[in-house]
Amino acid sequence: MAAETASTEARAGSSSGLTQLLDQLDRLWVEYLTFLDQYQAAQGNLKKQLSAGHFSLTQANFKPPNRRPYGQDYYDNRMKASRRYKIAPQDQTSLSMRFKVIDTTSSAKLAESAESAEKDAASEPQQQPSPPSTPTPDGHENLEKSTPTAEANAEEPAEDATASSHDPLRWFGILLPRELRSAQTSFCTVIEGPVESAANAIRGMRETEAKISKLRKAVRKVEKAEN
Amino acid sequence: MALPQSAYAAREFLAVIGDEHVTDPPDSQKNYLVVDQKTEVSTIEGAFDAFTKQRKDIAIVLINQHIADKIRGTVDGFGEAFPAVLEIPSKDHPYDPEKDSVMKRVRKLFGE
Repeated sequence: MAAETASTEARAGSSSGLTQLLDQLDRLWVEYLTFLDQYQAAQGNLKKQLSAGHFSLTQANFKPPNRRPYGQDYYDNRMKASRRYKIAPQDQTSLSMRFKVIDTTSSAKLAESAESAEKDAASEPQQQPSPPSTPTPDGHENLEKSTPTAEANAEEPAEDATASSHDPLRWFGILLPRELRSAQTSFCTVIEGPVESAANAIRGMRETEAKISKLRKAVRKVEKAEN
Repeated sequence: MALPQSAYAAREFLAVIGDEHVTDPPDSQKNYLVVDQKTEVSTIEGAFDAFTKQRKDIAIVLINQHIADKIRGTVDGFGEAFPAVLEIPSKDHPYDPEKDSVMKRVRKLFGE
């Protein structure tokens, strides 16, 4: 009698363990299908953006000003990557890695340096230059209040020139068709949006796949033990 | 066991294996391969191996699907965590989910 009670309790325990495992498996399947949906959506967006980019490029090549199509002939081999990826944990508690796009173009760096310069200017008092040692011929002393921002303004055109020289569009000339800019925007959007999303979805699917396989084995083991 | 973040810190570039309509401007060490009708399969395989196994600075590899079909065995057999391999459509060859290695893994998991 006691042995029958013990075996019934053991069966109940293992069935509740099996139920828990099956619940975990269901949650992993939901996670996997979410990543699959993200991947398929990213492929759809990628297709749209690439099509738009190719279409704009074809339009730009339809009437090129010097009859040379916009292509590899214009490429500058000294070019550095304008977009890079960073692989970092999703959050502080998770071990899973995710991709993140970083814009390394000069305009992005200038925006950051401008923000930091504004912060510095707000925190530090502005210095007034000392008056000239010799008076001006008309006897008036003109104090030119040149602030640090004026010097910064003088530097801005030089930095703008540097920023524009890193733009690959500059390889193709100065007066560029609108369609070529539109093609660049489309292709950059591909890198920053769908590619990042698809790569993260692939990463998530691989991780979840491993967990599902492991859990399936555990479920089979428990089911075998019950039988 | 998951590798620490320092193992992936150097992976920051995008590599591309595609036809002339897809490849990006180059970096100092080329991270792209332009494939045309004369390009041999061994060259494509060599570039894929270089971007996925030899180089440690590639985070994502973009490859046109019709080019991936030429080295299908190698692409499907790649199972490392990084870099991520993403098949993309080209101007003349639309994306086919039936041939995508990612979707093949999904079907295998579902037991199809």
